[in-house]
Amino acid sequence: MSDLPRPEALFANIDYTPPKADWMDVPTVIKPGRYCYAANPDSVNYVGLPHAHKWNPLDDDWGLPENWQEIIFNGLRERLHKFRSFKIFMDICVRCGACADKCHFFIGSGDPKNMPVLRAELLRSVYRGEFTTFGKILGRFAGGRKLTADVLKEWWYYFFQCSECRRCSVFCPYGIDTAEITIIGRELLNLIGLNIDWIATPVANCYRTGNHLGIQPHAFFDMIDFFCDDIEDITGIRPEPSFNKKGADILFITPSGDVFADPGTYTCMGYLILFEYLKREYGLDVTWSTYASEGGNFGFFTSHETMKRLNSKMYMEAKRLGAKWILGGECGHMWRVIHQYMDTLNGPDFQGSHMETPVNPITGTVFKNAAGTKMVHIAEFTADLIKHGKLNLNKKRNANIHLTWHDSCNPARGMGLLEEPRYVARNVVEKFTDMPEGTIREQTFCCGGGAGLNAGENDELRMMGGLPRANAVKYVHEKYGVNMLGCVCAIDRAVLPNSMEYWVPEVDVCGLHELVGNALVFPGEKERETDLRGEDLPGEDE
Amino acid sequence: MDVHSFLTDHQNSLVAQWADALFQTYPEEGAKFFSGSKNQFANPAGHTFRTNLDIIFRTLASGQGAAACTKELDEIMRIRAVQGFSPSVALCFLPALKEIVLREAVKIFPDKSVDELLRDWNRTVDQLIMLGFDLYVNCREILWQQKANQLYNRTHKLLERANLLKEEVAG
Amino acid sequence: MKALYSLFLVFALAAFALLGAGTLGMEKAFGLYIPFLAVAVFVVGFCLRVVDWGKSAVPFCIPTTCGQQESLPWIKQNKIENPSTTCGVVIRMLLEILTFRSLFRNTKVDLHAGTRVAYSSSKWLWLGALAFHYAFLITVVRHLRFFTEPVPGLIATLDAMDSLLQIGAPTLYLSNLIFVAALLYLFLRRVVVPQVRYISQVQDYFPLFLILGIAFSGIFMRYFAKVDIISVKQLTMGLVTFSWVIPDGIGAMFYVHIFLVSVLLAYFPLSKLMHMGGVFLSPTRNMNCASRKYRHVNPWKFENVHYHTYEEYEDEFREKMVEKGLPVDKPLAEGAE
Repeated sequence: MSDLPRPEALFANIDYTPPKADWMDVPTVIKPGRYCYAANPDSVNYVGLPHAHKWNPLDDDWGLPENWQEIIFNGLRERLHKFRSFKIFMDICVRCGACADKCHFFIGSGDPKNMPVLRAELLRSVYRGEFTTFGKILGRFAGGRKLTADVLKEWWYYFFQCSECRRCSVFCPYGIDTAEITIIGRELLNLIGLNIDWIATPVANCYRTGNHLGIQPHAFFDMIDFFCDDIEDITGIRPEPSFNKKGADILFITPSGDVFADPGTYTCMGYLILFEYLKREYGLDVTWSTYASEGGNFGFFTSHETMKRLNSKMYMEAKRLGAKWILGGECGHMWRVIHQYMDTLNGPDFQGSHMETPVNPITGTVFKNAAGTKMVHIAEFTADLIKHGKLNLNKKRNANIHLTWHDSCNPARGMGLLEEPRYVARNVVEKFTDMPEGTIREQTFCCGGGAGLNAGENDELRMMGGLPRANAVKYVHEKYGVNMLGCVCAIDRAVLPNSMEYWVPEVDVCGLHELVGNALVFPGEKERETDLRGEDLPGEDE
Repeated sequence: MDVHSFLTDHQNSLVAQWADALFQTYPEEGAKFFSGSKNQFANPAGHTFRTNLDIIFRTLASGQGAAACTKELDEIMRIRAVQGFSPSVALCFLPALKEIVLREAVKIFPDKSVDELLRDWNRTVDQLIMLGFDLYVNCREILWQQKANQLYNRTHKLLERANLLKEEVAG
Repeated sequence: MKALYSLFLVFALAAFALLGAGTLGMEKAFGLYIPFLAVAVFVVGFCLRVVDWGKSAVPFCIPTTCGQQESLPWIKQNKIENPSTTCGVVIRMLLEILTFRSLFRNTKVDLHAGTRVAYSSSKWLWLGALAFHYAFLITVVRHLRFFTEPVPGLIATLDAMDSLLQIGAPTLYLSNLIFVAALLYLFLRRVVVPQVRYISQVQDYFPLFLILGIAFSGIFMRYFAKVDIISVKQLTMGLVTFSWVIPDGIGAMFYVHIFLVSVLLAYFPLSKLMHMGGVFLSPTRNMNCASRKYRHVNPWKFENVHYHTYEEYEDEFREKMVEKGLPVDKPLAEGAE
């Protein structure tokens, strides 16, 4: 047999480098479909990030500054000192391989450099080769290597194939978090202007207009107004949301994706309906802001400093308006930033002294868990309302939906928001089935487009990364007839519909408050004929 | 022994070789991972490949046409179509099935004209290849459609926002 | 290839000890000076590394939450996997350090086609790692009998329990068996599993072989060469009481053993073996998860940060805001000036 060509090779020009080669010797080939376009220099300039320039990842010359190595080394040294996490993660990995098959990108693509440990080794090898005594003397023998232009390209390629979902860190015996390494890796790349456009341009937009698409205040107002029209058509009730209102009790901030892209828009309509209901029934005073109109924080994917600059708007706006606390919409990495970074980053500088530990004015519940940051997740808020029987919900309106729950990575592994959305979901739909163990809760799979990877051009990467999640959905779809995938993340709502259309076409995607909006019954409201998507409601008599 | 019982008797070894031909199109670590863990959720790609190749082979060996395994082949194609392969590599495991069966058949029927014996089988595999081609292109079309929609939605929203799409445009 | 390098290196080290202590008669160097130096390097190096880590800041509270957060009173919090109290964090760390909690998570139920349920092989890593570390610990504690006089009851009890099987003379230690088996498993895993082989470096194989070398030389001395324990203890007690002596009749194998241990000790602070100290400091495990409740303070500051204030925003969009009836801080005319 061995002298015959392998059957599959007869028909295609498969030419893999003999796999015996060490990974350091396998050159990185940048493949279309797996990378995102380089950042528009104007966007990079607008927020004053370093070394804005025009470049193309497919070119040989990336237009790096003369002293790029020095910049990276200084940046690396500085970060080793500033981040104990980074320093420890550089030093203590034993390469046990527990994380190797936990990354959705590896599971989908089989590309070994997508194993979390190897992704980290890309940087670690340079750390060893350039910063440790052993590595400097012994080089390759001690697992070290020098920082060359090729190594840099490899970093760029693979640090933008990590969605910072933290799944690997759940399984690591030392809690090594590849997200942390990717974050620092991207910060280093940012120092020499190697940003991607799908992150840099939203950053510039968020900075200037408050939201990632660069929508100006009047258009933002129009979009919400447009939803109010739709809601009026469907329910006969017209919400009257307030904007930039001084003296409101609560400031509401949601990812702007909910305002601009389906199916997030239906979730946004859900918020509007909920707030209108609470205003009419209990006099709840919530205001939206056009200035702080983005909950998501694209700065998080660029550098810690950019994250701070974008996040500061939330507290600044709460201070200006005099809101007692902030209610946050359904978003993934937004909540990682709020839960784990916000108070540290901007609390001392910008949190108004008038802000109070959040209290639900309707139920009197004190959100002690948010005493410091003074921000409450809307799933926590709504769960509390339902528990106290403050909402009149009719599950039958969602009777055509058999829901399963996608725990979004950041709220799951950077916060622990697992039961609240499930509690709300079970109260608004009749049929709810969880996906198998090992694919949900803290072990949930990423949608494949987190951390700024939801560009149009890297669709293959996203589809591969989405496979593990879709596969679990497919299982509950085939076995139990699940037809809707719920989530609390704007990126999920942008990525998963395409992923579902490709992998499990019979399953649709929705946000939690879309379902709440459908189920919520206003006193004396007219008989609804359609749901928020304009589709016929299931017959109540069935 | 006729071709049918040859195929059923050697089913396990033939399917194993076929699966190998598929896994061999990945770099070694990836191939080992896909072919290793049998966990449906931890290794969805490998699980799909293995299970579905087996079903497809059984279906074809039982004399049913390629169309009977559309669903199974589609599930494989969906994965292959997004893994960055050129179309020929993505599909190469299909014609490989002919080669694999031929190599085994030569050993089992040394004194017969194997080409003659396998004529029907080869025709079925050809059907399978054509089917695979359709499914592959369909997958790529979905992806392009999504890209097109995205662009369309973006421009449409921009026009809408710029108030260039008033009701009167529609009449 | 990397494994072979490491194996060769360990053989070379053993040969060096044999040559030095045996042929060249440098017992003093190998029995006293080198071990003493190695202990010094280990202690100083270990402390330096930990202090070095300690000097790096912990700017943000970034634990990986692996369970339900503390939120509404009626939602059951996972107090260990998502701790909001110091006590919870301590238990989480103890589980991590004593039972390798995170590796155990690898264990999961497989649902194969149909209803057959099987456990995935990944729990072997947890078992192998746990067996290795505990056998190592027991072995180290057992060895304390060479450095104490009289031997504390605890160590003697441990010794007795370890030789529970009562096979052979001297009796076989259970921990010896487990230790070697676990080491071989960890090594084979590295060679056989392609993903793990791909990521393995020389410094992954080297400590494995080194420890195997230590184990084999120790086992050889105890069961086959039957080294004169009394003289060995004379030497080791001399080491700790600083009354250095080299008694007669200690075989060359002892020097190989103690030399490899010395190499391990000296190598320790320079290598990945420092995970022993690092695991305590890992910010994704040892921090309180209730970061919205308590403010974590960043010890360093961002310098010269630019913000986009509301005033700048309103100045740019005031006209459009007024047009839509959105409230503004400064009236239009004033802003237009």
